[in-house]
Amino acid sequence: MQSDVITVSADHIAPALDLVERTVQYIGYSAEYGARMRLLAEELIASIRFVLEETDATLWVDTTDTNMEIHLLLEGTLSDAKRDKLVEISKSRSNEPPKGLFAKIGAFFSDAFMSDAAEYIPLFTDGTESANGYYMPLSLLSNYQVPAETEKPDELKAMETNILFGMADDVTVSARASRAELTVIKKLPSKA
Amino acid sequence: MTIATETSGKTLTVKLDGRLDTITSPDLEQALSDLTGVAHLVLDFTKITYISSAGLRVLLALQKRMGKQGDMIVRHVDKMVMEVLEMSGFVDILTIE
Repeated sequence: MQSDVITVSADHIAPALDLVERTVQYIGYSAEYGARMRLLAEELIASIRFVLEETDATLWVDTTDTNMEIHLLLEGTLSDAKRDKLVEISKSRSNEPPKGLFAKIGAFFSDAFMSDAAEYIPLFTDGTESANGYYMPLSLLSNYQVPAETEKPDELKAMETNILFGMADDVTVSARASRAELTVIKKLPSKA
Repeated sequence: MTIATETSGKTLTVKLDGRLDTITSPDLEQALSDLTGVAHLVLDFTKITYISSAGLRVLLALQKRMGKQGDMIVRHVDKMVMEVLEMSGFVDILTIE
């Protein structure tokens, strides 16, 4: 089943979170489980907040008997000013390959939205290009390594990562120029 | 979310009711922006059933601030909220009763 598709922006998040919670309860799960999926959606949105400040996104939920997917899709053409801002954000990050889930998501999205369609090269080359120019979803959690106890995490950036890592079964990202999609995958528990 | 505060000497008790998330955490930040003279901050989470990273950020800021002028205790934490605190490593940062 696919839910309604709803617009999300940096200052218009609540309706999307309500949609996720409502959908989970509609297919027969408890209010508590709905709150858990709402939290996953909120952390998913929080992980790309810096892009949401530049462009709107759409969110929807797909469910099967066994799985639930929360999709967040950003697409559109950015103005020169907005693109410059993304470049600035990107430059403020390290030139080294991004470490950690949050940094990967941020780098992936800023890369997709900074590039011209003709020039777009995926940030992570282990994603496989499909026929229509999209790149196959790349799993972020399967390669995610929990920081060693001796490595002090960035207190502010690690929160979304830790919650997504702790609650989701996977988070995937796929992109082409001016379009990027982030998906949280969660195996649904038995309703019994 | 509703925020009720009660002062007794140098102890400020804050009773929260609702969700502490992206939408409501700025309200808590604003309500507790002036902690002058507070040596003990008690956050009563009896009626908090949901917390996200946005709420955690406010807790972290409060913890850092109270660490300089006294202490902070979080009381009556719900099961799901505790799960999030554990996932994010906050059980090692906060004093939870």
